[in-house]
Parts: sequence; C-alpha cells; structure tokens
Amino acid sequence: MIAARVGDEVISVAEVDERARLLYDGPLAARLPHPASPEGRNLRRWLVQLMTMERVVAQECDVRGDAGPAALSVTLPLALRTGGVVASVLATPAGQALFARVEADVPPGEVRAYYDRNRDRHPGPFARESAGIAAQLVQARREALFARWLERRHREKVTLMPGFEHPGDPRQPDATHRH
Amino acid sequence: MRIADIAGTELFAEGPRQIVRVTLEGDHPAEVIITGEARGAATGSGVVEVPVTTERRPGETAMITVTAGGESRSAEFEIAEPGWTVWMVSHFHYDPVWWNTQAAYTTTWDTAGEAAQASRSAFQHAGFELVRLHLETARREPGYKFVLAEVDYLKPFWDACPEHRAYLRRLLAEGRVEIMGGTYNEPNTNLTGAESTIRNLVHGAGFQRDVLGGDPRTAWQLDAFGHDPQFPGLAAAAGLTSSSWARGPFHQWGPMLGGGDPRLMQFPAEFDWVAPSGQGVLTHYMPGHYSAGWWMDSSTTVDEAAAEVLKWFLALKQVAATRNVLLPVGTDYTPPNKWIMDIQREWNARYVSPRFVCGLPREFFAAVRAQREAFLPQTRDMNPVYTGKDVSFIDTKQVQRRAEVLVADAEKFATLAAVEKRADYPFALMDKAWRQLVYGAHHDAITGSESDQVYLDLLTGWREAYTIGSETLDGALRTLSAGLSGVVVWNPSSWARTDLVRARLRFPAGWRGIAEAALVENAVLDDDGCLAEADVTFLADDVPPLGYRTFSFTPGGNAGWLPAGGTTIASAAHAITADPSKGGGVTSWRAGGRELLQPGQVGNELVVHDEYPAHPKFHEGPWHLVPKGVREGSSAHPAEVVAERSALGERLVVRGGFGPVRYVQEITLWHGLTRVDLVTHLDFDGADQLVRLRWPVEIDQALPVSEVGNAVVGRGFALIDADTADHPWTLDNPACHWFALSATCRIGSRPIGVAEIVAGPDVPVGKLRALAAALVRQGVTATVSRADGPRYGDLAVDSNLPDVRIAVGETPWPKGWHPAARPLAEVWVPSADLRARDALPVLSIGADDVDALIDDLADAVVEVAGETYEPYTVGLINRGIPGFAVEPNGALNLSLLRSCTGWPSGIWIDPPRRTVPDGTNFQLQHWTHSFEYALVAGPGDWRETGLVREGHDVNHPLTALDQGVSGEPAAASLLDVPGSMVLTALKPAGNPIATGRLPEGVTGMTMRLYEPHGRTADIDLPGWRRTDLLETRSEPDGPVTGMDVVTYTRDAVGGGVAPAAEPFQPVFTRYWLHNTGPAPIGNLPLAVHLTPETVTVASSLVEDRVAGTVTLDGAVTRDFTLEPGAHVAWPNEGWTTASLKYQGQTFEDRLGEATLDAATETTHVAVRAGERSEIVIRLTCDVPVQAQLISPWHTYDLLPLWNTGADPGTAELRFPVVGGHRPGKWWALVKLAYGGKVHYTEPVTVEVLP
Repeated sequence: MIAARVGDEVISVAEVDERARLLYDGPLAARLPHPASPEGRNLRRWLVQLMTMERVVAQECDVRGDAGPAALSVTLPLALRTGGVVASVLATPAGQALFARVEADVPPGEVRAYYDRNRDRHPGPFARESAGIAAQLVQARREALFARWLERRHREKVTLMPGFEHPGDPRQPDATHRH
Repeated sequence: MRIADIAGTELFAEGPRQIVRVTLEGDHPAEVIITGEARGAATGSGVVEVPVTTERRPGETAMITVTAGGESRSAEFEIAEPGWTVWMVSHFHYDPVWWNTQAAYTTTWDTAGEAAQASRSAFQHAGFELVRLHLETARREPGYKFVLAEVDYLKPFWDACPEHRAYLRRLLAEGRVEIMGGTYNEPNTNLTGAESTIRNLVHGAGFQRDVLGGDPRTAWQLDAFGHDPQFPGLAAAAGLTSSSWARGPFHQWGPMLGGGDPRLMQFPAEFDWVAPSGQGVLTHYMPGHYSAGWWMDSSTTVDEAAAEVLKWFLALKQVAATRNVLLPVGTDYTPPNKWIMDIQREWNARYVSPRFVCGLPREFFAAVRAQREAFLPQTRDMNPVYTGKDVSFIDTKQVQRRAEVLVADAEKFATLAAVEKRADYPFALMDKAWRQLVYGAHHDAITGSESDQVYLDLLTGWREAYTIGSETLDGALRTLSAGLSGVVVWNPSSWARTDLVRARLRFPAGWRGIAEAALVENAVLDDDGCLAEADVTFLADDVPPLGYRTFSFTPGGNAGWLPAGGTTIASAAHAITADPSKGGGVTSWRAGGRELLQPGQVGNELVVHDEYPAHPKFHEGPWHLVPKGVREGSSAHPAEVVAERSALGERLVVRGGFGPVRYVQEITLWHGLTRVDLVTHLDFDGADQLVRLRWPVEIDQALPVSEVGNAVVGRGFALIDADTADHPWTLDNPACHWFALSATCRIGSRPIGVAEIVAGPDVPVGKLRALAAALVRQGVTATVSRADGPRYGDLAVDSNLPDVRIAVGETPWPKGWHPAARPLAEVWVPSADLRARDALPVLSIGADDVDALIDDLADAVVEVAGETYEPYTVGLINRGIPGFAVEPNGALNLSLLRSCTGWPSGIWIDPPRRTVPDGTNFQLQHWTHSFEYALVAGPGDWRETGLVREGHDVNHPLTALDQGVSGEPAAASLLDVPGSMVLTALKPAGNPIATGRLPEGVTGMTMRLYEPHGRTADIDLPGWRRTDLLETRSEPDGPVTGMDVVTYTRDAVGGGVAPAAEPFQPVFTRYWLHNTGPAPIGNLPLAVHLTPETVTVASSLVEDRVAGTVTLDGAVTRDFTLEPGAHVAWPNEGWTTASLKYQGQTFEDRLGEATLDAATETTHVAVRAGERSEIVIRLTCDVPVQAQLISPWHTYDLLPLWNTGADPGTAELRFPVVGGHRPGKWWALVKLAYGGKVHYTEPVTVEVLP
C-alpha cells in the first residue's frame, strides 16, 4: 500500500503508520486526536506532507551533493510552530544547505525606496542604512523564493494517494474548514 | 499548423479589447488574424490571446473568422463586459477564543501546549504576530493594503507594542489600512439583548475611532452565526454605512457549498439590509465565504494563483450588483497571502478588465455606490445558522441573560441615584461589566462552540458582570431607599407593574406569620419559635414605573405551601391538570374556558433527542444541532404529581425520571397574575443528546412568532424529528424573551410571518423598500426577489423558508389573493422546496397598489372580502433559554440542554486537563440545572396578549429592600417614559471610558427606548434631545416609527466618580495571558510593559495628559509625562518587574519563569440548607497569584466568594460554601493565574443535600 510517490521513490502506508505510531507512543499521545476520527486522519495527512517534503529535500540534496538526508529531521510540532512544513525544513541542516544555494538580489532602487518609506526604522543617512536594508530585503526575498521553489518541486515530484491528500485540500473527505 | 480551439474570454486588454483565445497545434509561432464582427491580430504559439475590437454589445454574439498559418476557421463568441474590478481584500479572521485560549490566540500560540498545535493549520499565527506580519509586508510592498478589526487584539497590541503606533497611524493616514467593524468583536447578536449589541458598537467605535484614529464604516461580521434582525439598523444608528459577512441568508457555507451555484441566490450579493426599525446599511454578502480568496496561497506559481482569482471572479460576478467583486483574501489567523501583490502587478500589466486590485472594503463600497444608486432591500431574517449555538453550554446563556439584565437595571438605578441623590457613579465598574458582556457575546463564546478550558475562562467574565450588576443595583437601591420605611419594592420597568416579589425579611420578636397574603418560606426561627428571618413572597400591587412602592405587613398566620390534594390547579385565568401516569405531563390546560392542548398530547413534557457527536458530513458538533430522528419523552414513564396551595396561589410539583434525566417541575398559578410560572429542575447524565421541553398547543392557522432584539418577527416552523444525516437543518431559532404561536400579521384569514416579495421589472426599488419596511414593522420579514429570477424557499440552499408570496407589478400571477394548493403543514417538510408557483399563498398586486397595501398593513391586517380570522396567542417566555422550535403541528419546544462530545468538546490547552467530577467533558453538562419559563395565553395577537411587557417583566424581576416589615406608605416614579415605549437603558450621558476619556462625573442622562408593536408613536419628552446611538451627534426629533430604537439625552446635575479597582492587586498588565477577557477595570488607559529589551508606558487617553512613575524591581524609578496617545520607552537594564500605580490600582508586568504548587484540601463538599463549609486551596508561588473560583450558573449564592488572589509565598485560600434550599450537585474549581501562566485546580463536587 502506497501513501505517496516522490519522484522514483514511494512512501508506503506502513512507513506512515510507523511514523504515526511513534507519535502516538510519544509524550503527545494523550492530546492527539483519535486515529479513526477525521482529525486523526488529517494528522496522518500532515505527517505525509512532512515525509514527502523530507524526501523531496533529500532527493534535491542528492542531486546537488549537499548534506545527506540524515541531517534532516523535521518534527511535526516544529513544523506547526514555525509556520508550516517549508519553514520547518528551513530549520534543518539539510534545508539550510539547500537554502544557502538560493540567490536573490534586490535592485538598488528598491533599497532606496524602502529606506524612503521607512525612515522611522532607518533614521540614519542612506549610506549607513542601505547595507542593512539590502540584507534584510534579500533575506526576505530568498525565503520567499525558497518556499516557492520547494513547494513547486514538491508539487512536481509528489503524487498523493487517496486518503493521504493535503489536509487543507477542500476535496478530501475529512476537510473541515470548521468556521 | 491547425487551429484547435477558439474561445471568448471575460478578459480585456488595453482598449478595452476583449481577448479571444485561439489554441494552435504545432510549435512554430504564427500570426493569428481575426476578422468579421470582431477584429484583431496577435502572434504566438500554443494558446494565443488575441485582443479584438467590436461594435457588438455585451451579451451579444459575434461571428468571426480566425486565420492562422494558412488555415481559416469560423466561430462565434459572446461579447463580455469590460470595466470589472476584483477587490482582493487582505484580512485575517480572528476569534479571541474558540477551541484555543485567549492567551494562545493573542500571543502565545507557538509556546502553548501540544493540544494548541494539534488543530492548528500551518499558516496560522497568533494576533500580535499577524499584525506584525501584515505591517512588515506593508513596509516592503508600497501597494499592500489590508484590514484590521477586532478590539480583542488591537487593544493589547496598541498597549504592548506602542513602537508600532506611529507606523500604523501613518498607514491609516495613507489609506492603506482600514479599521473594520465599528464593533468590539464579531458578536452573535441573536443570542444577546439589543443593548449588548449597542455596547459592542459603543466600545468598538470608541476604540477604533477615538483611540486608534481609524474611521470604521463597515460592520465586519464575517463569521457570526446569523444576525439579529435589528443589527443593520443599530449599525446605521452608530454611524456605519455598510456591512459585510458570510453567514445568514443561506446555510452555513453559503450557496456555493459543495460546488453549489451562487445563482440560486434570490438577490445580488450587494443589497440594502433593512431592520424592523426601517433603518439599514448597504451590505455585501460573501457568497464564497470569508475565506474564498485565501486558498490561492497554496499555488506554486503566480499564474496558478491568478487563475484561482479568475475562477472566483467568474463565479462571483454572476451575483454582483455592480461590476465590482469583493474577494476576501484571508481566513482564520492568516498572514499576508503569498501571491496577492504579484498577482496585482503581473495580471494588471496584461489585462485592463477584470482588474485584480489589492484594496480595501471602503474602496469596494465606494465603487459599488458609484455604479448604482439603489439596491434591492432585504428584511430577510439572516437566521438560522448553526442551531446548536442556541443551546450548547446552556448555563452560559442563562448567566449571560441574568447578568445582562442585572447590569442594565443596575445602570438605570445607579444613574437615578447619581441624579436624585448626587451619589457617585461607578463608571469604571459598569464599563467593565459591559465589556465582559460584549466580550462574551463573541460568536465562539455565547454560542457554546468553545472548548472546555475556554468555557471555564468565559464563566469568570459572566460572573464578573453578574457580580458588578448585583452589587451596583443593591447599592443604588439602598441609596435611593434612604428615608423610606417598610419593604421597598423597586420596579425596573418603564410601566407600572403588579407582580410577585421575593425578599429575605428580618422580623421583630413575636411574629409567627404574616396576616396579608404572602408566602413565607425557608424561615429561621428564634428561641420562642417565632420568625427571625424568612423568604417572603407577595404580590406587589401597582409599583410605579422606574420607581417604588413601600409595603407594610402585620403579624398573622400565612406561611408556606400546603398539600391541596388532586392533580389540578386553577386560578381566575387558568386551570391545569397533570397526569402522574404520563410523566406528570399536563393533560389539560384551559384558559378562559378554551382547551389549549392538542387532544391526546401532553404539555410540559421533557423529550430527549439522540444526536450524532458531530454531523456525519459537515463534521460540525457543538454549534450544529445533529439529532438522529430518535426521541423519547417523559410521558411514557410514570411520575409523582403533588398539588399544593398557598395564600398566593396554587401549584403542581412533578417528580420523575427516565433515560438520562431526573426532574422536578413546578407549575404555579398566582392569584392576580395572568401568566403561568414554570420551572424545571434537571439532573442530566447522558451524552450526545438534546433535551427539549414540549407544549403541543392548538391554534388554527397560527404561525411561530419570535421576539428578537428590540423587535418581533415571524419565524418558520422547525423540523426537529428528521435524521440530520439526510436533512441537515432543523430550523431551530433563538428567541429573545419569548416566542409564541400567534399571528403577527395576516392577509384575510391567513396569518403570515415570512414573505417573498416577487417584484416585476416595473416596480421601482424605492417602493419595494417602503413595502418591505411596512411588512417587517408588523413582524413579516421579506426577501425581495425579481420575477424573472430564482424563487426563495428551497431548504437545500436557503437558511429559512417563507410562508407567503407578495407579487408586485408584472409577475406571472394574476392580480388577487391566491390560496396555496395545499395546507402549509403539508408542504413544510424536511428538505422542503417551496419554490413552486402554488406552494404558498400569493397576494398579487399592481405596482400602483403598493401604497394602498402599505396603508393597509398599519394595523397588521390586510382585509380580504369574505375572510375572517380570530387570532389567539400562546407565548412561552424564557429566562436565558433562547433555543426554540415550533413543529408544523403547533407544538412549542424549548431547548433546555444539550450534551455534545464532538470536537472541540473536552479540548484542553494548559494541562492538567480538568473535567466534571464524574470524568466527563464540561460540554456534557452533568450537573443540576434549573430552567425558568412562563406561559401566556389569550385571544388576540401577541400585541394584545401583552407579551412584550410580560417577557420583559419575567426577565427583570421586581427587587425588594428590607427597611423593616412595617412602615409608612409611599410610592413614586423617578422617570417619566411614554407608555407606548420600552425603556432598555438609562445611563449617564456619554461614553467616556469607551472613547479613551477619563470620566468626570454625571452631567446628564441618556435613555434608550424602542417602540415594540409596529405602531407610530408621537412622544413628548420635554428637556430631552434625540441623539444617535453613540451620543455624538444630534438627531431631528419627530414621531417614533414602529419598532424603531431611539436614544434621548438631557442635561442633569449628578454625582461624581466612584473609584473602582480589581479585587486583586497588582493587576497583571498582560491580562490576556490569564484568559480573563477584556482589559481590567478602568480599561488600562495607561499600560506598562516589560520586554527583555525595553520598558514602555503607553497612554490610550485621547484628551488627558498624564504623569506618573514606573517602579522597576521595586527599587529603581522612572518618571514620565505622556501627552494623549503617546508612549515612552527605556532600555531594560535587567529588570524583571515593572509596576505602575494609577487611579488607585497597581499594574505590573513581569518577565521570567514562575512556579506554582497548589493542592485542594478535599474534592467533595456536601452541605444542607443553612450549613456552611469551605473549599480550601493551599498554594505556594513565587509571584502574585490571581485566584478565581469557577462554578456554573445557579451556584453563585452557594459559593459567594470567587474573585481573589494571593501574594507571593505560601497561602491558603478559603472559599466559603453556604448551603441553600435547592438541593443539587454541582462542581467548582479555582483558576490560578500567575505571571502569565494558568493552572486550574482539581474539580470539587459541591453538593447541597435535601
């Protein structure tokens, strides 16, 4: 039984079950939704998001000769606390290795415009403030590019099987945007 | 080269030239030329977008020839309309409480317990982080615009993060952020009184406009589970000009649920929402829900995201009133959408229509107004949505009703005390009490949709409002009663009353009873066996409006209830018989010689309906009633019935039990009163069940009528016995004080309650508005549709059903009155579809007959030759039990209680998780409940039976003060109010604290009145001036039209300002971390905050300059002087506490870890009447501990001390338990809040033994 395909690899339902078992045997157990409930099934869907993303990152690392998958350990609470699966990938060494390869530049005009618009934060002369602004804008841009790139690679490589759709997918049977 | 496809689009390039998409096969680019009725050319491969010009008009078809690479093909396409704009409104929906806590939702979601992560979506953030993320995006993206709304996060953010104030003010000045709402939060206005809604507007507009400097114009009620009919009128009276929201006219997810078609809507998304008062606001209903545009966030390219926006445009444009579509881009707790700015840039570079613009609601509404002058009026009842909200956590609805009444009555008499006796007015206390009510009115609070932990947190808010209300009322009445003797009975109603009053009286030596008609109960006797004190009930005759009468007693023989024998009781007005073999149910109820019950049926029956834990398809639990269609009633089981009599009247006492309930019911007939008073005490131990109370009365043709906030409307029958898996909507509704079977209006012999006005093209919108207003003034809500559009009345999409059609102008119906093909009860079935032409009766009139019909409606009767009808009314008055359902056969049902195990029942964020002592979720309600209600019956409609006053009086009992059992006769009214009106508020003029001002004493009085019967009232109030709801602008005087809500103010010399402080000091500045609701007493005009980097003091005052001193770690001080709205910051030199004394309170912020140990001495406390015990908590903590005892409604006298605290160190908290006379089993626990953390002690069983 396959939960998802990632490129040429598969993630089996058994692997998902094992990952879920670790969670349900762990310290969070008492507070996790019942596995048979819609919430429980959506938790499994999140796990699949996490596992497929790990696999995508690992494959990209292989391709690029970066740090191996062992350096990647994404945990669910981390994922949820850092603003999603992508952000949690960013928090791992493998993710950082990939992120290091993302390049972005911000045109000087944009730096100047930001400076002009945000003088409350940058009261000094432009010459003194511009480097800091540029660094900050470049970082924000790189994060956005990385997230978009990773999500696109995930989209391209990953096929989710029925029952393992994205938890936020409104078409999956347990989707409940409750209000 | 081959032309594979030719298709018109809704897209326009510069020109505007409509784009025709031509799909070419083959890899080579080719020039595509279009000729014929549209002409243009473009070069490309694959899908080529060819802009064309044409003389054809939008909607017409153009014949073209497409030539490319030598091939030629003919085609036709529809000419589209240019000039469209999609306003992408970046927002986040914010619940201050729901399944997660106030602390987590405001700031600490990331660090809250694991349960706080389990139901979290990856993109969701806490309030402060959300505001920061949107501000950061605004700094980077000069075109980024967004909205902010709820005071629940704005006030804490404004105080705790003053470094962002200047930038936020700048964005406001630049028109890049819009402050939405003019309300404090998104309240469920259909579950509170109208005055709570008004205070929501007062506090929302006060903070957003005066303190923050915003200009709220749009009521932003995104998620509210339906709306009170008067809401649009109140919004207009508060200076708002529009509203927007996602739930009301259609089922919870709107017409597009499950891929549904928005064209099923009977009116455009933009309409004139009109209240029974006749006032209203332009409204945008969100057919795709408030999250519609958010989901493009998961797109991986800008083209994919833009395609998503285009998809929404194509769907929503079909129901847009103008060439403007509002696309909400955001959902619960969302950061800025990833693609919104890229879409704006890239899309608009390619196309001129539709434009995709990141914009604000006010820009959308301005564009809508610019394209159209008049919008179809809708007085439609925007209910019911989420029927579970009316009954889940029923105890919170009971306490909120009682607290709301007490606070309003306390405000009336404290204002009169300030003016009559120059007493100081408790501005800060009353302000806090209202803010608690406003906070609790949120749509995940009063609705019972919250998790167990949040339920406990919320209970402290209602208890605080209750405490402030009862103590202030008592203090004010004592002040006003000075110099009076005897038992002083006060009447909070604005009409003279003869009603029962209860008082605890102390007696001089030698009294064994009372000579006058009275009921003497729960007596304490002295050593001679004489009365020392007792509860005395008597009929207080003719107590003047907003005034008093003194009563004097003489020693005599009357005592309590005595056995009367039999199972029948009677008064001049009623005779009631109960049957022990039928669960003690009422088998006969006669009023004025008329039998009111259906033959063979029993009244006052308890009925248990089995429910799903959550809906099988929608997965919605606490907020959705989900019965399985299986019911069991008390009448199938035997019970004990005892008749009793006293000097005041007769009663039946019923004791029984079946299934999950054990019950005691009292039915009382009082001499001299025309209503029947009832109470049902209930012990419940079931799960996933709904307990209703049923009165199957019989009145030919009568329809359900419901009091709502300061108005009355007709509401349809409910369908409560179907399996909701197949028929998901039961059509239960919330009533304010009462609901009834009656006739609010009628055409000939047919009562009507809910109408569809089907308008021909020849009827101007102004006439339709006048007709809709005239109907709703008589309680008939209406959907105004077009004759060539879809009909109203399909339960698959509409949230409620009509019972009559009024066709106006050119419509398919011949002029005249056409009866329906079948009786209403036969077509009103589960999943009903009443759209057929003859499914309902139709009154068809010409466009020129509208004025005559409006005149005819003034007396709520449209005469039809040869038809007569004698209306009769049975009304059921509730005390905080709003949920009702009238079955098509006429059975009145009151929803008493519900237990739901569906999510988030039992969710707990801050461990250890607590439960009811038997281990069940609090949502299951396993304790003793009491439900008070009353019945009124009589000939005529609800106006003639006096239901408005009766409902008001039952909820606002007379209050007696013991100034000696004997005294001098005296009586007076302290305020003259026109008899045709209902007074709902009397308060000091102005709203100083809500608008960031310091109260300076009472300089005037303001009163709020409404006309309850749909009649125009000429009222004369010398000295009073008409004002708007916020008391900021004067309004022209004139007659008060039917069901209008009006505010009057006058100058008056009154007392000063009574000081007030939180019971436990110091007050923790980050109060939200303690989950205690709104800001502390005084509303924190000055806030001190500490971070590892800085110490800040921020002022929220708008006029006053303030000076003070901050003390750091108890040693170092910093002085400050702050201009209005200013703040000051110092670097934190390593301090961990910062405190500030202001207005008699000490405010403290604190950094670092704190530890607490707490133990409960015993977890079972049992007392008998008159006995005392204690709940003892031993604790050790290194910081100050705020301690609040939490217990359910009906235990406040039993547990009189609740709000206290302990200084750092070891302490013993003792909460007294005082045995009362009503036996039962409840629970209590203590919430300990310390330095921003919370701990809930073990629950204690608190039992009163019989």
